[in-house]
Amino acid sequence: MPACASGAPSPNSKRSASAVEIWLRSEHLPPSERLDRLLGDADLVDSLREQGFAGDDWDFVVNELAKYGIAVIGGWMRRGVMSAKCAEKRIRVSTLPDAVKNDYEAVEEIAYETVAEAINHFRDDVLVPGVWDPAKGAALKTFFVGQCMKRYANVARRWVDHDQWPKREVRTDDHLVLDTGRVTGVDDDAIRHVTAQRMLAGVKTERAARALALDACGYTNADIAADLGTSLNGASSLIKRARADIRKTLNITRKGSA
Amino acid sequence: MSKIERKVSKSSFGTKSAAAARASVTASQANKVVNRAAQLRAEKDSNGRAPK
Repeated sequence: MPACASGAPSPNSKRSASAVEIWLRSEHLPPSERLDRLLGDADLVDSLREQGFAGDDWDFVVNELAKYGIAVIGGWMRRGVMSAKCAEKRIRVSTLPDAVKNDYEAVEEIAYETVAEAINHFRDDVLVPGVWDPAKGAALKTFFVGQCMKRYANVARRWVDHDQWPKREVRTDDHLVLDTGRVTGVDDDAIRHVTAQRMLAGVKTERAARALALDACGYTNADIAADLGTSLNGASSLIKRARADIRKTLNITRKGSA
Repeated sequence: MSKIERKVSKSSFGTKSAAAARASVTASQANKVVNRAAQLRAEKDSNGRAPK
């Protein structure tokens, strides 16, 4: 579970840092290598421009941008330094609620959405119009991370403005949702209620439990995605994970009672 | 190594640390982002502007 997604570093940041985390703090290159890298950046952009920033080469670069963006933005979010990093660039970001900061899947989704948006804006707003200029000394990857930070500000604001996270009373909400099913009798309803509670308790995250509860009540993936503030794929993924959690719980229970 | 791979490796994305960062991400994770970016682009192209 990632720690704080913004603000001061979490207690977890006291553990020994990985190679990637060390690099995330800073990267110092000798002037000669920095110049070589800038020339390499310019050569890469020229080559992509010749192909109209489309085709196989562009697809390859997009994949590399995705990996790099996930590593950087995900790393910063997990270390709880995203807000501080944005503040260094004078980018104002909304403070994410604790419910989001403490939800691994939510943090992951925000990082993915941020990088996905950044890739498109990097192409359209930076590369195509030729905004990046190697003569000014900034590396291409610095521009990309800057774009990620700008997009993070938008993505985080959407999450905050649109109330796109489970309420603290999510369990109560789930019960209300489940109770809206057709009741054939008080006993049936009670059994359904208890069974649903027991099964949902096996789901690891509240978001996944909520997604499954809504799915069980006949809501479409689009409704679920809107409710949880995620994409269609995100909603589908949450439901799958919830089902997998329940299957795992049931298997453990069966093995235990065998 | 293909031509584009060589170009990326010589760019600022090719430093040891940047390469290590990229290597820390799984193909599955990258695919999710790539697909989402493609979806956003398709939505933008069909709507004429980026989805809110």
